[in-house]
Amino acid sequence: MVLTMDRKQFVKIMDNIELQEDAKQDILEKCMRGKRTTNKVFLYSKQIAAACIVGGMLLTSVTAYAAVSAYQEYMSRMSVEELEDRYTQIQSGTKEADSFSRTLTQEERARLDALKEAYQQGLRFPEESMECVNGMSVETGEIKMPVYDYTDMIFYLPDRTLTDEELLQVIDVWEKGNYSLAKVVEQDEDVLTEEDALQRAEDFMAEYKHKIPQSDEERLQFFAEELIQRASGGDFDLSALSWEFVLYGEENAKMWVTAESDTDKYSIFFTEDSTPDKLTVLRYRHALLGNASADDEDYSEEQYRQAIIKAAEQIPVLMTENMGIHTEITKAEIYGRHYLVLTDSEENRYRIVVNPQTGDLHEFLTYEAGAYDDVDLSGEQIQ
Amino acid sequence: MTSEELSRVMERYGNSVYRMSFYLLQNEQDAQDVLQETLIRYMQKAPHFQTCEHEKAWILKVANNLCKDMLRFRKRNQYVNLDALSEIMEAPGSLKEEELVVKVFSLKEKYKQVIYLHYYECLSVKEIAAILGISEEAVKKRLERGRLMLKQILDAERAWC
Repeated sequence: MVLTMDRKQFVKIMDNIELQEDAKQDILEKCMRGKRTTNKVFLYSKQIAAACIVGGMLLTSVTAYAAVSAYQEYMSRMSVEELEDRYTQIQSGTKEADSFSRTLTQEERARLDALKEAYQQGLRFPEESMECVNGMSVETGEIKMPVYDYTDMIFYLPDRTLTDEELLQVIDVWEKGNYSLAKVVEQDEDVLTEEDALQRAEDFMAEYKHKIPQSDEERLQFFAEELIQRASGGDFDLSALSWEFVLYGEENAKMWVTAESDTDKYSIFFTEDSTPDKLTVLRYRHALLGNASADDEDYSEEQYRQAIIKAAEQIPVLMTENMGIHTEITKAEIYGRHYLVLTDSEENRYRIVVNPQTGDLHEFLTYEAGAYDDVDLSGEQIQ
Repeated sequence: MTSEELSRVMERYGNSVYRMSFYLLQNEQDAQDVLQETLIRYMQKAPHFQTCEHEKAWILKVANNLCKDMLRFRKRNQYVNLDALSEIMEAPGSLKEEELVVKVFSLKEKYKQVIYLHYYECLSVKEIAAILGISEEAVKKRLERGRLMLKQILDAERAWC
């Protein structure tokens, strides 16, 4: 079957996606009540969640005192031991968000939303608490009653439709968890005013955003894609790569980008200076995974030698154009069996490995002058 | 902010935000959550807008960031959820159309973003770059690759305009 498509068809498909009027009204009403979504994925970490919840709870208490007082009264029935126990269990969770062992049906989801609202307004609470465990070993099919696993943060659900009581128990786990996070943080702070709590939450968010801004990820990926494409001879399928971005350190931090497919893994270290034109590569590594092999023994010494001589001409261009390293190379040496070592006018050294068959860059490592002077990389000089 | 003002924002941008979120997240509830959170952030943090275009760009940027947060942290919907698509969309007329929809939804998120913003919202490369926080070159490259991928997966015969 041959499929064709043009812009009109794309627009037609998108036109089908439309929010119903009653859903719009529901969202508007929730917004006007200042009600956030129940989704916790907007919160970046448990610590941020704790700080924000404190602020959120304090704000809520001003506008909806009556509803909150019933809710607070219910929550206050938790003993200090239970609060601390829940707090500890939540902190030990290995995931960022809760999940269910099976997808809730539309009908269950609708009841869950309605019951959650009733719960938060202090109108309905579960008769009993859900069983909570650490590490679940039974198969989903064996579950008779819902069970929450703190370790994997999964609600294991029976295949049958959940009752209102069971849905309330799910909500109970969420709400008591949030409450214990907020309470324990509050206790740690001794006296925490609303202003302090909000400021603390904002500071935390601001700091976090500064460290891993979305735009930096986009920029890094763009820069890395260009580098990988160039270092791989320009014919690499970038769409097969999945990306990960990590930032290390506070000051003089370095950003680490990894891009991985079924057969290749790229690892690139950048310096922190993240303005678009000033990204500098400190390390680059391309590893072959799976069945692909780059075994040193596959190639002769002469093959390496020829590849290194060629790389001594090409790599400085790559450094300037794609790695943000603007320097004058003063010496090129062959170190060991397959290393090219370049030295620049400031005595920084760069240890390089290329694929002797394709000329692709496999490894690039910077030895900054002053920091690694005791490392001997000297060999046969070729330039 | 009054309820009338918020209703205006919903009326003007609600479907755009919901549509883009659904396209990226492939989940009705998540798309509604993103819309709700976007409106709340609008109520709390929206600056004074000189033009409607500026306002629309701000809203789409917030919604896009929320979608990305959701995708990153929930790590789900890594597949095309046929059930979710059939629930929200009108029943396609033929197997061919159904397959077309699935293919359009199976694109990678970053290509979906630019394709949607450019071809549905009719935003320029410059506007998309501002919304996504990437360079115009990156937008052009993604558009090019996104179109190429669509062509490859659809074996398209007609060019995109």
